[in-house]
Order: sequence, then C-alpha cells, then structure tokens
Amino acid sequence: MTEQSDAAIRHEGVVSPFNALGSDDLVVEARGTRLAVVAGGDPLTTPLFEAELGPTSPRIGGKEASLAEAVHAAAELLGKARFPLIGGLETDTNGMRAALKVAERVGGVVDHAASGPLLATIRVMQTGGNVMATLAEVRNRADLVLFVGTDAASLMPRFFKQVIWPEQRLPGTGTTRRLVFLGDGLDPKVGVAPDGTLPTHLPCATDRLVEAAAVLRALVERRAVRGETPAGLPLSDLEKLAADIREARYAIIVWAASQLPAEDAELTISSLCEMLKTLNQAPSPSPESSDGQAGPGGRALGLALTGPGNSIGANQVTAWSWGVPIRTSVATGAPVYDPDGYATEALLASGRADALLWIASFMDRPPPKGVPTIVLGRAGATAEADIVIPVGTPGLDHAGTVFRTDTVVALPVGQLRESGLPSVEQVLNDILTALGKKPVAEDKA
Amino acid sequence: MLTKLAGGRVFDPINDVDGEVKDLFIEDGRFVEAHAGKTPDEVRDLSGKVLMAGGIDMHSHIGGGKFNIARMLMADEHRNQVFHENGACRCGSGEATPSTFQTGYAYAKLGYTMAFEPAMLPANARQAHLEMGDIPILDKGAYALLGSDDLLLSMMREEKGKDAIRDYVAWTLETSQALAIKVVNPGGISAFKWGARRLNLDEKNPYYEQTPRKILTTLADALTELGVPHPVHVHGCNLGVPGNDETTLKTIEGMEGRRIHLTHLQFHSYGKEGKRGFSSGAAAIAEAVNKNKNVSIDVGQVMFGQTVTASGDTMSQVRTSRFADPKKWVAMDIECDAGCGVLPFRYKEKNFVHALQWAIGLELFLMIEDPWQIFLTTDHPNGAPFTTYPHLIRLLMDRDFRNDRLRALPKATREMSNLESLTREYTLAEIATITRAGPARILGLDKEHGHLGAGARADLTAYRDDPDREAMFNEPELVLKAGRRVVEKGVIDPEAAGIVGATHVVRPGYDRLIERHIGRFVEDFRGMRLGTVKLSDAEIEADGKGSLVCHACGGVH
Repeated sequence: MTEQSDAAIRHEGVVSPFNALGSDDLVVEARGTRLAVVAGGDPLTTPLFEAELGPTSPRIGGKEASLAEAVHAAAELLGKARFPLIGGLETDTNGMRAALKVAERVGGVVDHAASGPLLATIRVMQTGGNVMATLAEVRNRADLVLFVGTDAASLMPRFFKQVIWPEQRLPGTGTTRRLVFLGDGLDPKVGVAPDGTLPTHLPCATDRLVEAAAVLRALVERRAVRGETPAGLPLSDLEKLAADIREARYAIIVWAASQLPAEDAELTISSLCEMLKTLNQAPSPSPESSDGQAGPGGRALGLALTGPGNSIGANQVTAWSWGVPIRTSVATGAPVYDPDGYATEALLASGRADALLWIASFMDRPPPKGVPTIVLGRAGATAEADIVIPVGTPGLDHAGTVFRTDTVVALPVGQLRESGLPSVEQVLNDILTALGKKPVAEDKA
Repeated sequence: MLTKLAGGRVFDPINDVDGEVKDLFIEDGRFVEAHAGKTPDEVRDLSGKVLMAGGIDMHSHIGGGKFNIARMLMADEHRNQVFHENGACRCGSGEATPSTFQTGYAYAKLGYTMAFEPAMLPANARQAHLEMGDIPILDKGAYALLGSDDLLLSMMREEKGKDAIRDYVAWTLETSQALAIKVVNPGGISAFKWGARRLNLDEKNPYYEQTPRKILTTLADALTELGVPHPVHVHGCNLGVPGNDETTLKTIEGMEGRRIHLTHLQFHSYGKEGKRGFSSGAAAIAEAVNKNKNVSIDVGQVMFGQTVTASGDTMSQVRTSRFADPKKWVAMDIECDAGCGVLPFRYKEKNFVHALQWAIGLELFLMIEDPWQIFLTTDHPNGAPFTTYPHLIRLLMDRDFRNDRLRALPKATREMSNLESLTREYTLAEIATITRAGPARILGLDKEHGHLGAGARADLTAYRDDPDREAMFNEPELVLKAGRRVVEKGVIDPEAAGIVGATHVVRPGYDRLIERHIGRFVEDFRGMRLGTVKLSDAEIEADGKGSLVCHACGGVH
C-alpha cells in the first residue's frame, strides 16, 4: 500500500485511541500508510498518529520470519513456560479478551504497563470507596476544580480546552469556575481561563502532597489541625481551600496517580476520597436537617486521570471476565488477584515469571528485560526480543474499542489505513490455535 | 433432525398446559407439532420429569459499569469464590457479583436461557453490550435508562412537545441497542446533581422543575405511542425509605390506567408504623396491584447473606451509604445521563429491618393474586444473587418450610408481618408463569420464547420431580437451548460453553429529524460527536461474536 497512493484520504471525526479523553473531532489525512493530523492534534498524540509505519515483518532472534513461523515459535515458548507473564497489555477490548484466553491456556499472570498508578486509585476504591464524576459532568457542573499534584495538561494536552473551558455549559449550571493547582512545579498558565484568569497555585512539595491531602480532609471535616504550616503551606491557605470546597456547589478534585510519588499515591488518594464521601453524605440545606457538619447541600466528586495505553480498558475487561482487577494470575486455573505480588517488576526481579509476552500496540514501549520475551508491538518499535511480531494499532490499522479515563465511556476507534498488519487479537488467536486445545477436565463448579 | 422428548409432565402456561404428560418434538432448534408418519431421529425419555420452557430473568444486573465496580469492590469475597477453567468453561470469580462467563454458566445450570440487564445507561451502553457479549449461553438484552438525563428534562422544561420526546425515546432505544426503557428515581438522580438529597413524587427537580409523576407519565405515553411491548420499567422514588408505601400507591394511582412495570417492589413497600418506625406496606400495595391490571411488578426479594447493591439511584445509595457492610461505597455522576451507586450489604436474619424486608417480599408474592402480574426476581444482586432462586421457589411452594424459616426471625419482625397467616403455596404452573411465561409476555417475546408450543425456540428445562423444591430447581436434569443440550445433571456441555446468545432489541420507527436536536446537545454539552455515541449493529455482530434479534413494535409510526 505504501507506494501506490498519491491522493490523500481525509478522515473527519476521528476518535483518538491515544489520549484517554475520548477526543473524537480529529481530522486525519492518509496517504498510503502515512498519516497526518490536520486538526485536533496535540503534542502527545500527533506524533503517535504520524510516526512512519516501519518494518512490518515478524522477527525471530532478530531475523525476519513469516507470521506463521513467529506464531509457532511464540506458542512453543509460552507452552514451555512454567509461569509466563502477559504484560504491557496496551491493546483494545478484543486484544485484551484474547490475552486473557491465552493466560488461561498457559497458566500465566496478567499485568498492564500502567497498573501501578491505575491500581492506586482502584485499591482505594476497593478498601474505602469513592465518589467520581465523568468528563461531561465536570465540563458542565464544576464550579471549583482542585488539581492535586497534576496540571492535567502534561498527560492530556487537550484537557482544558475539552473539559474545563468549553464554549457552552448546560443552562442553569452557572458560569463561574475557579481552579486551584496544589503541587510543585505546576504551571498555572496551562489552565488560564478565556478571560485571562489564572488558577490559584498552592505550591506544595511533591513529597508533602500526602500530608496536604490529609490536612485538607481534616479541615473539610472540621477537625482540629495543629501547626502553622502543614505540608509547608500556610494553614490559612488550606483553611480557605477547605471552606471553598465545602461551599462549592459542585467541586471536582483531579488527580493523576502516575504523577504522585508511588509510595504515597494510595494514601493521598484515600484522603481525597474519604473527604469526597463525607461531603456527599452531607444533608440538604434545609433548616431542620442542616447539622452544620458540612457544606450547604453541595456536591464534590473526583476525577482520576490516566495516560495513553488503555489501562482502563484492560482493567475493565479483566474485571468483567475474571471478577477481579488486573495483576491477576490464573496459574492454578482460577483467578488470584495480588496487586503487589503480581507487579511486572516484582515478578521479573524475583525470577518467578520465566517468560514474557509483551503487548504494546499503541506506541513504542520497550519490554522490560530478564526473561525470554515475545513482543507484540507497534510496527516500527525498535527494541529486539526473542520473537517480535509487529501488530496494528487500534484506531489506525483496525477498528476496536478503547476506554476513556473516567472508566464509563467506551469509544469506537476506526481504521484509517490499510497496513496489512494483524491485530493483537488475531495474533493471539493464532497463538491459541497453535497451542491447541486443553483437554476438558471434570466440571469443578 | 427430529427429536422426540417423551413422557414428560409439561407446565406451559402460555399454551394452557398444566402438568399433562405430553411428548414434545424439536426440529431445527424449534418446537414442532407431532409429525404423523415421520419417525424421530432421536428419542429422549423424560418420563416423570417436570418440563418447562427455559427460564427468563427479566430483571438482573448482569453487565455494565456499575456491576464491574461491584465486582472489584467485592475483592475479599471473590478471593474465596473462584471458579476454575476446565478446558471448555472459562474461569472466573464471585457469587453475588459473578464474572461474565460464570454468570452464563450459573444461569444455565439453573435452567435459565435468557436474562435482561435492567439499567443500562446510554452513555455506558457500549461497555454493557461488550460485557453481555462475554456472557455465554444466555440470550440477553437491556433496558436503557432515561428520566434523569439532562436532555429529556431540558426538553420537558422547554416544552418541546410529546412528539419530540417520543422520537428521542425511540432514538435512545435504537442507538443504545435496548429492548425497553427503565426509569430510576425519576428526576432524582438529576436532582442530586443539583444538590437535592431527596425528591418526592410531586416535588419539582431543582432546576428543570419537573416532578417524578410528570416524568413517569411522559415516558409511559411515549412508549405507548411507539408501541414498545414492555411498559415503562420503573424504580420509583424514595427507595428504601420507611413510608414509601404511600409513594408507591400514589405512583400507581398517578399512572391513571397507563401501563407500568414497578420493579423490585419490595424495596418500595415500607410503612413507618410500629415502635421502630418500620412496617410492612405489602397488603395495601398488593391490593392496589390486584385492582390495577395495568400494573405489573417484580419483587426484588431479599435473602439473607452477603451481597452488594448496585443501582443507578445515586441519591438513595448515598443516602443509605452509612449502612454499607463492609463499610465502603462508590457513587458516580455520569455524563449528563444518570449515575450509579454501589454499596455492599449483608442482610442478617437477626436484624429486625432485614428480616422484615424478607417477609415483605414474600407477602407481596403471596398476596398478589394474578401470577401474570408478578415476576420472580431478587433484583440480582441487590436483594440477593440469582443463585438463591431455588431456595426462594421452595419458600413460595412449601408453607411449612416457609414458616420454619419465619420462626428463626426476631419476634419483633414476626409481630409486624402477616406472613404466617398466608396459606398460599405456589403451584408448579404458577412457578412456570412467574419465571418464564410471564416475563416472556411482559417483554413482548412470547411468540418465540417462554413456552413450549409449536414455533417456539426449543429452550427447555427438565427437572426431576423432587418434593424438596429447592433441590429440584437447583439442579435441572437437562437444559436445552434452541434444541441443543447445554446442561445435563448440573454439568455444562463442553460443546455448548462457547455459545454466544442473541441480543434482543426493539426499534420503533421515529422521525429522524430529532437527531439534529440530540446531536447539538451531545456536541455542545458532552463534547462528543453523535457518531461516537451511537452503538452500531456491527459492534455487536462483528466477526460473528453476537447477533441481534429485533422485536416488533405495535406503534403507528
């Protein structure tokens, strides 16, 4: 296909498979396999659309091989492994469905490249709960948005345009929106309002965000806080912020676990979520019911931001198929969820995993080293492995579905070019065929 | 191939067959008339067995975002409730919140062949259908949620007129691939987004100024005009609030003869009498249902044990969040569309309130006279998981067993319930009605489903006739789907484990000009294009992964 076409095919209303915001207004021109983002791009996603296709031939031990040979070699490697890790998992719904089938067939464990931050938010949900909003609720109803340790734009360059400063809001939701950035090294300019107003910036050292979140929760819940400068901030600033959150009609708290210190992420998010729960349990503003414990019937909700790579989708498919989140082993034939023990780094460092099937169909993400490895990677990715099978990218080379950062909205992504590359699903199904059926055991259920 | 099922006792209420011994014939996946002069290729002796159509669960939360949250929230339970893959069946976990594959296997093992997700948010429709695509064996479908969405409420506020609303309802059914329309706490999920913590039947939404009563009649009228078989499927106001029996009676009255399905009615039948301010309102409500043939209900029976409640009713879930057990809960405001709330719940036999909830559900079952107006549900998993159905059936069929269970409850509860005095025992024909014939009819599927007459799809469950009805319904001898064996003696047929059932939908005609208005709303306020929102047929049917069955609507458009 690369040689033949001079004429550009213009695709309008393209859904970006990369930004987890569900942007669906991109305009992309395709000339053969070359893509150019004409409108709706941003510094993170445009290069992912526009990267050259690169070599599409599978490789075994660095040498070109046919797809059938590579599939056969992959099946052999996985079939021999005692405890294979199926990692990366940057794929669409159907790719993930197939990955879980492979895991069941070979008795492996699944983990996503971004599980660490993803599970920080999920584990808080699993232990205490949370109150969350989707993008459209933020876009329309928020009158106060607090960003904790993130500027959002570094993960999602279009966040402010698409979510925070839309041209219109639902009638009745108000016209004002105040932003507060809490954290270190955040640039308030990315959140500038159309009228030029800059977000308030409370500069808090990254390693003290965990403390700031705990203090904020205490203040919102009207508990005593000692010291004049908790988390290195003037107490009065935090008191003002707590009062604003209590009085807001619809406050939103944004975090990106990947931008919080890994060791503090869960505790920080937990303080924020407990605070949100308290605020939502507050009664309506009526004279008989108001107990003065919390704001006047306002609401407060969270929004967790994830990066590219469809970690939300990979987790959703795992949760509905197996009943538990990602970082789960089926080595015993049934799901065992262990968010610490089944982290990719832990499995490779301890030597428990003896083979790696690495899936990275959205971008060039090299696999970790240490064990015999099969890569199902985006074409053009340079990292070598024992077996490399270039695969198509959902939304560029084939249709599929991916999930938005708010976990609720799944998006249909389309095909923009004829690259001839197989999808992750196709390659994994071929590997399953090569592995052959497992004998049917007695029904244990 | 012609198959003869010989000698079974047939319970087929749609065809007025009540326990007669009768041979059944199956050809090409359907029941056919007895062929004179044609010899069956296969004869299966089912003498002594009780035969019914495949079970149909008309209200069971089986797929979608809130249920996936519920699964993850129940991680501690799932650790000890795992299911192994066996080379044919996939692995999974969870009893109250089973994973998708397990949902399909567990329903099939109970003799069910269809189940319907009753609360699909249009904004989450794609995920709900993806999940249901991974529920094997069962046919399925979903009811799309309307009534707290900003688009409908703004159309009502701006008096866009009933034609526009009717077209929007039809558009929602089509583009979310739904079979019916569900309303949850009409206007209340929206009111909560505007800060209200409660909304009564005649209270106005804080911004849109529409009352729940008006939202219900508006949607009921739209569905009637469209000729959608299933009436508006209603989770009413004030779920779980003592004194909501009044709201329920007023809701029935307020429909003024319009058809309505009141779902999980047990949660809406609470009085506030007695020294604890909590009593049964079942008698008056059952009487109202008996008098109003336009009303159908499902019970949402509570059973004792650990479960999790997953609901679109953010307002009531947050209101009751203090009762979460274990103490954790999730709520979400969703996409100018609706919301969801998920909280674990442990119904305890020794708890006065929980025990009375149990009794109230059974009172409804026993006091609502016409089995065509009432359907067996636990609002899975909210009252209990669907795997408790056999126990529930025994409670309905066996008065001594029921009274034994009742005696284990707190004295204070027994004093507040008339359950002990209710002598009714369900017959097998009545069980067949409330678990397959009735659901098929109320959903408009009864031409081909829910019965054993010629032309129906050959979904059949054969039970051994055991006086212990719990044991009997817990392990059917044989389950067929479209004539194919899917379960025998409690074991999934390996060949059938991969069956992907159809998705049932309706598509009433409408004026497509409405898309302009919807499109503007979606672009202006959700920041999306209409094409991204709409769920295409290909997404369900792609690569032969699923199929769609569209049911006729009787509307004039």
